[in-house]
Amino acid sequence: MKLSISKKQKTDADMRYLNKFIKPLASLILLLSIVGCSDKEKENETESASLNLFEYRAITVIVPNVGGRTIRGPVLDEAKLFSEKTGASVRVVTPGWKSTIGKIKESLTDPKINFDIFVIITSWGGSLLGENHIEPIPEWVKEKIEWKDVLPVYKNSILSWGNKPYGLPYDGDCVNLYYRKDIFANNTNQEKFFKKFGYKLTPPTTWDMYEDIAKFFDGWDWDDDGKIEHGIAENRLRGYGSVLQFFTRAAAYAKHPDDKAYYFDIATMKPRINNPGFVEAFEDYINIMKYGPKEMLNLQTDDIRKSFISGDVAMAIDWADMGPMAVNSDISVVKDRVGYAALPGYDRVYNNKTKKWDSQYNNPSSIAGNWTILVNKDSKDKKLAFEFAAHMTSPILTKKLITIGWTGINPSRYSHFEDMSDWDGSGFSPSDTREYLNTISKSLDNENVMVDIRIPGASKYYDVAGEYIDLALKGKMEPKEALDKISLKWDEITDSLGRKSQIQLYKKSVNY
Amino acid sequence: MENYSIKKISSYGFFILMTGLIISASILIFLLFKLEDIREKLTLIQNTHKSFLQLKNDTERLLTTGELEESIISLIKSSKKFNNTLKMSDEYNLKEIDELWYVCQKEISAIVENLQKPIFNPKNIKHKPLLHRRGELFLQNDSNEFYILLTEVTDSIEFLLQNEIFILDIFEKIDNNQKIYEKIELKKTKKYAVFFPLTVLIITTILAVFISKIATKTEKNLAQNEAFLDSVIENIPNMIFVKDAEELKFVRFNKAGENLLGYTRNELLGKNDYDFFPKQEADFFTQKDREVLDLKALVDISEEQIETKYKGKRILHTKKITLFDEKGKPEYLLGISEDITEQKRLEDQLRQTQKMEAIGILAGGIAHNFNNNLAIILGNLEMGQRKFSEPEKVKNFIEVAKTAALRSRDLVNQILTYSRQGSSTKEPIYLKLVIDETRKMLQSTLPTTVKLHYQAMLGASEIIINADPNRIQEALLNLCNNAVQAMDEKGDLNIYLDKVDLSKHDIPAQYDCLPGLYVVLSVEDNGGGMDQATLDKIFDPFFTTKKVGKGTGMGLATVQGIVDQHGGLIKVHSTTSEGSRFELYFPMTEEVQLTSQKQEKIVPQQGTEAILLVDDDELLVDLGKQILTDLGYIVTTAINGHDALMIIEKNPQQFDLIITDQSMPKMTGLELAQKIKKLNSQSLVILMTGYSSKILEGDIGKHGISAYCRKPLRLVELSQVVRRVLDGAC
Ligand SMILES: Nc1ncnc2c1ncn2[C@@H]1O[C@H](COP(=O)(O)OP(=O)(O)O)[C@@H](O)[C@H]1O
Ligand SMILES: [Mg+2]
Repeated sequence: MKLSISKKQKTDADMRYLNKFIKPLASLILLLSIVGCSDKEKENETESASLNLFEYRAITVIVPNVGGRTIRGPVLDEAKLFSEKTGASVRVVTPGWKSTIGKIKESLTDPKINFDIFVIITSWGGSLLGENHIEPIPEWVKEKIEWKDVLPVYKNSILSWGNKPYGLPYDGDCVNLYYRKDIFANNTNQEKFFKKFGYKLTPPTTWDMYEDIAKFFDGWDWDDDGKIEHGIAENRLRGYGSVLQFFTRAAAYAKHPDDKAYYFDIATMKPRINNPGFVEAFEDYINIMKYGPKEMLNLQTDDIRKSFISGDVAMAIDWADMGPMAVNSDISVVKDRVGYAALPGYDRVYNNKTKKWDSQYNNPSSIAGNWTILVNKDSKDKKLAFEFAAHMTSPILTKKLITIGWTGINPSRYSHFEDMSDWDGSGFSPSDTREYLNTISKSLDNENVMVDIRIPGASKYYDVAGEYIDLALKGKMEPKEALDKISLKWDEITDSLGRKSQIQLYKKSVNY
Repeated sequence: MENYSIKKISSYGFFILMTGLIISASILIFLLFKLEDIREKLTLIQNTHKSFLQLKNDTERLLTTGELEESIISLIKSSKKFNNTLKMSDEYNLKEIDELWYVCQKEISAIVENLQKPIFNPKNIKHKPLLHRRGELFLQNDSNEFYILLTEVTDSIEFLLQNEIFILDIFEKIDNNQKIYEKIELKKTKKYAVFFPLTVLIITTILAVFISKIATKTEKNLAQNEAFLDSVIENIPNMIFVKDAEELKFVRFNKAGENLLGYTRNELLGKNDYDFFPKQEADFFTQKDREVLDLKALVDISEEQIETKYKGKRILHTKKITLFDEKGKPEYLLGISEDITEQKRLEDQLRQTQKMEAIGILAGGIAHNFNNNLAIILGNLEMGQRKFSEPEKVKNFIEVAKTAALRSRDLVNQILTYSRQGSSTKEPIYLKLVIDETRKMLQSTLPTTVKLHYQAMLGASEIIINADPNRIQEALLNLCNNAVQAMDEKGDLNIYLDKVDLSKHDIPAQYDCLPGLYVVLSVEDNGGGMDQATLDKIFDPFFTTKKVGKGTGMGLATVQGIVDQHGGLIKVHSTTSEGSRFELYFPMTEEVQLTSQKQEKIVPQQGTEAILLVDDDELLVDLGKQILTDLGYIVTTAINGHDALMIIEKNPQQFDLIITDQSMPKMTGLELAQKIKKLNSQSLVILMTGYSSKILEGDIGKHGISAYCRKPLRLVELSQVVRRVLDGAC
């Protein structure tokens, strides 16, 4: 008993000792855990600040380099903003125009190369769509980009394939004529011109008239800047731009208003490229070069715009970009001096069905070279891809872009024509804006329209055309010979892709 | 058990502490290794990053340098170098970089291939940067082909640069992430370095507190238990003592012990029995103690005497048992003693009272019976006197008086038996023979409505007991008599002979019998049975439920006396209106030394000799004549000595043997014997007497008596004595 009592006393003492220890210990632990927790919270905060919807997700966008910042510029800018905003990595690559389609093709077969978004002209789309590489636009994207607002000509034909929408409406394009309002209105020039050609100097309504005016303004300093000016600037650098310029002119000669087909016979896919209408147009196309700068062969879209806005030429054939560019580019000297007009027409038109020239004024519009945004069907992150594509083609962004010249982006929506508020800071005067938009909308209203080749193999047809057109431009081949060659090559391409299916697809592409 | 749990908890505690320490240490080591790993990875990635920066510089240089060939070479070199470093960091799964690098490599080889075309000769390039040269060419209308090619190359380089920038971005991200990761890991490591040892410390501390709490509680419990046990022992009203096994000294004593012995605990502890009790007592205690310690079993001492300090001699009922140590060696002796002195005294008192009561009943019974008989005798004698003139009637009165007198004689015999004063000679006998003889007797006297069954165990004929066969027969007859009466003279009467091994428990307390083998002689009837009140008294002398003349109440008392004489016991099982069974137990004789001769003795001995039987009791004379005739003898009877002498005188040689009763009116048996001897000195005489007398037995031969025979006559005994006398054994 005695022993046990002393033991008890001892344990009591132990307890007191332990208690002494435990209390500070416990508070220390509490303190530590609080410090640890608050540390962690801070970490979480900083993390969540940078954490976003698409954190650690990446897509690659391919846009061809068409010179300068045209088309690719907005994509590069917006990709950067979008990445910053969402945490996603939107990588934009801009290979040269010529190598772009090759790189796209390569990516479709090489599993190590992947593009999620293609920003391309509609003519290339046909080949991707025909081979089923493109994801149709989902409903939620349609809603997001206000698909209903898109002009019917784009919505129903150019951006759709088999009545299903695939292309997002980045750009709406028709080719127009730009001229120097000021020098055309100049009395001396008026008198001089009348004296020389026997009719009044006005914006040209025919290609013949266009040639007269070009001739008139070429080779002298008509603006007193001490520099020799030229009549025109047109795209002649080997490639799509040059070919398109040719097809745009040839439309007046060979795009019969009663025939939806233009490049090929609708029933046989037999090329019409070497018919008398195309030949005559091609000869004029070559002939006109003498009224442009000596480096005309090196000029592509971007250069033409630069030469026009820097006051080097009196007229230019270009997409709608020229308008805004003229008023808001730094190097522009032609602000408020630009006139807008529909493309010139022709006094007769070749009827391919009758194989005869019809004597009637023919003035079709050229709705070609539209830029669209397509999402790869095999993209590993379609959601992100569509998010970005929708961002790029939203009414708000495009409305801003159409007012900026260098972007290459032109009206494609009803809203682009209706609400003028965005033009306020563009440099356009309100009257100019109306004139500009009227010209475009008139072109778009035209029943007789020339569009791109939009069938699989389009780039091949264009490449072949570009190659032989270039040879003829350089005098290495007779115009007729070059066009015959193109016709021959086109048939080869058609056969290699399957004539029957090409016929069907061509019919589809012209809404026959 | 609680001690054990403390041990367990302590060892668990130690285990937890150790595991905790090991876990903390391993986690810390693991974290440090991880940190090192991250460092390594970071360095490797940084190196790869660096080598890629070189590559990007070289790519840019292509556009800006005049020395195209040189920059092509350094581009190829840095591209190879980067490719190698990238392969080294392969394990870090830089898949994204891999893919982009794949595109870059393709572009680089395309660029290099293009730039190595002859058109890019120094003459055409003019040692000017490519961009610069392209600007120049744009303005020339004659170099369109070269312009186109140059544009293609510069576009291509731009494309390459774009991809390179993506790779750089990824590197930067990885760098950052890695750095952040490292930071986090470092923080974690720091935190864990504090947290884990601290946790272990806390757990250990909590455990320590827990253990100490349990220990305290356990100790308290133990103390409580101890106190409880102490108080139990202390308050048990019996003396409890503990002695050490070595010297038998007291080591523990309770209050009851102190009170009983009159000594205090302090006086007792450390001392032994010899210090307090008389030598004789102390010897006894010590002897018992040793017995307990040797036997290692409980020893129950039902009575022992002890000299106390103040209360004088006390009688104790003590139980002693050995307490062993852990090794199984006797360590202590525990004793518990109950003071039964008072109880004993009360018992004695009770016994005395019962005795007095029994004597009262006995005396009353005797008086009552004798009074009855005397009344009959006197009444008849008086009537005889009165009717002296009518001899026929007188004879009848005398007859009745005589019967009453005889009944009184029987009564005396029975009382003598009960009080064990009747003589009895015990010898080894075959019990079965006695039963067989009795059965034979019963068979001829039982009413035909009673069925007698007999059932003996296997080997029953071998059973030998040390007994007086006449007594056994008497007991059996009494039981059967009762049974027949209980059944109202109709039913089944069963007799069983069996053998049992009686243990201590089987022996009722009032018997002083030893456990062992017993013979059971049972008599069973299916008569009226008895209630408990009756059962309690049936063995009392003169207790009867029967009408006067039907029972005397001495039957079972006699049976009891007989059984007592044989060292046996009686058990009764009875259920009202179902029946009763009386079981007589006799100890079995172990050694079977009975010779065939002895066996013959028990078997009724037969003969053909002529015998004269003399007895004043006519009933007896008839019985004796019947028995002897049955045995083959030729029997002549006489009812007094005078008649007998007259018969003998006619032809003194005609009888081989004369059997005479001792107590006869006018002439006793002895007197008759003497007279017969005078007539024929060769005559053989057997004297029958009502009670045993050593003196009489000593007289055998003196008065010409050949043998002595006890009354009442018993077949076997009589046949044996007769044969013995006739065969000249005496
Ligand atoms: N077998 C039996 N069945 C029922 N009662 C019995 C039996 N044996 C004895 N008794 C009871 O025990 C009493 C005492 O018997 P006993 O001593 O032989 O005297 P008695 O027979 O002269 O009455 C009987 O009066 C009777 O009441
Ligand atoms: Mg009786």
